[in-house]
Amino acid sequence: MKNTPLTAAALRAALARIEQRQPAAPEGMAERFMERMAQEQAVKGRHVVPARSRRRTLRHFFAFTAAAAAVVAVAVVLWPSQERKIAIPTSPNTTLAEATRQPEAPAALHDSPAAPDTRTIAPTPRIAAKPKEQLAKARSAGSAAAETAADVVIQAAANVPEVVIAVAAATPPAAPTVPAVQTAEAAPPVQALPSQPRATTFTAAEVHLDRLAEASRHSHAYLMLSEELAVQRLGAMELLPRCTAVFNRQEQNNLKPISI
Amino acid sequence: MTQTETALQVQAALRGEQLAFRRLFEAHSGAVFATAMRFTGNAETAEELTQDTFLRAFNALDTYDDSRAQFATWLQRIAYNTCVSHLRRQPPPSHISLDDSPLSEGEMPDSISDEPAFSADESRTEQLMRALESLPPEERHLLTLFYFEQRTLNEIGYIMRLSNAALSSRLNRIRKKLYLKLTT
Repeated sequence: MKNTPLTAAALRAALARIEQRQPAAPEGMAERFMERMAQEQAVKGRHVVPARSRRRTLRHFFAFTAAAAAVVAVAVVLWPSQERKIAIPTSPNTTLAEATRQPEAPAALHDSPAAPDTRTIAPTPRIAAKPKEQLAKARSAGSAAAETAADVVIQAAANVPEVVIAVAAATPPAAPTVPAVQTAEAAPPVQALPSQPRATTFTAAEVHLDRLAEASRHSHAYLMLSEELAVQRLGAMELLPRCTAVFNRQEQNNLKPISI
Repeated sequence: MTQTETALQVQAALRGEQLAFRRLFEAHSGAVFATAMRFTGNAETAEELTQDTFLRAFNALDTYDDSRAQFATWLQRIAYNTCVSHLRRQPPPSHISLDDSPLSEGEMPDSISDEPAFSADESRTEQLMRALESLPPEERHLLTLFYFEQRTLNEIGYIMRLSNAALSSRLNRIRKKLYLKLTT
């Protein structure tokens, strides 16, 4: 058969006829396939689950683990500062002594503000165990809480024993050697003698003043207002220099309060 | 099954739903079986290759990218690979060459000449069919995809892993081959 035209239409027609000759898919092929797939599953000991599902499950597991690890890491970094915040009472009438004293200690020290209490402020072990290095560590870790100046002031205010030590260092050497910083377990608050120089202790009035400033978010203006209130309440004008010393000590530590 | 339904069934199969596997098989097994029949010419072997194709497809369902090809095209690609692999494992088939059986009307095989009388055009079509059937399965499959199923060169290139230029060249070579078979 010579000169047969080989057109696309002819090819299409021929191919169509070839395809029509092909037998159709046999009946029951789907059932046989499902049976075979079930056998494959039984042989492999697992369901035929696409690999993407398995990878997705693994991906979810690793993501969840990473997220949990990140949360734990952040909690570890933030916990010291948060713990410090929790330890600080929010009521302006609550003194630091109340926040840190032992359960058997007497009621609020500021009940008789006219008679300043010379009780030695014994820091709790928790506060004593919080050196400034931890504050620096928290700040370097990018803690949002420590980033704010208010939190920084809170941290500094919690370091009252350091201030007491600083004040004590400036006192004459004739002062009795009553330890200003001691743990609550080691010794309960010691009632100082009337003749004991006040430089070696931190009076309830001073603590109260400090707590006023602390509870009022430690801004400079609030601190000054708190000083005035405290002075009026306590009737002790000589406390002002001490309060100023406390505040200056904070400023020396580059812990600037927020100005409002 | 529309493309949207297919996509939904694929998503369900990815979640491991057995019913989705069955529906996908029922929707696309016909085309895959036809491809397998084109390569093997045996219904039993074609069914086995069809099942192999779907098992491979379902195990690699996560690699299916609907942005590159439709699910049916992706299945055809797997079916083509499965069939080619099967053919390579088999001994080379004995193709009937047109040279061995000259296609002159006087020398038509009995099986053909016993068929009802064809018109002149139908006879030419029969000759062309015989020439097509004498081609290797891969070449006939390429012609079927291009002329009968009217797939684009991009689709065929995706199925057979060939570039458009390689496909055009191969199609030209097959057409010349067919022409030579028909004119000699």
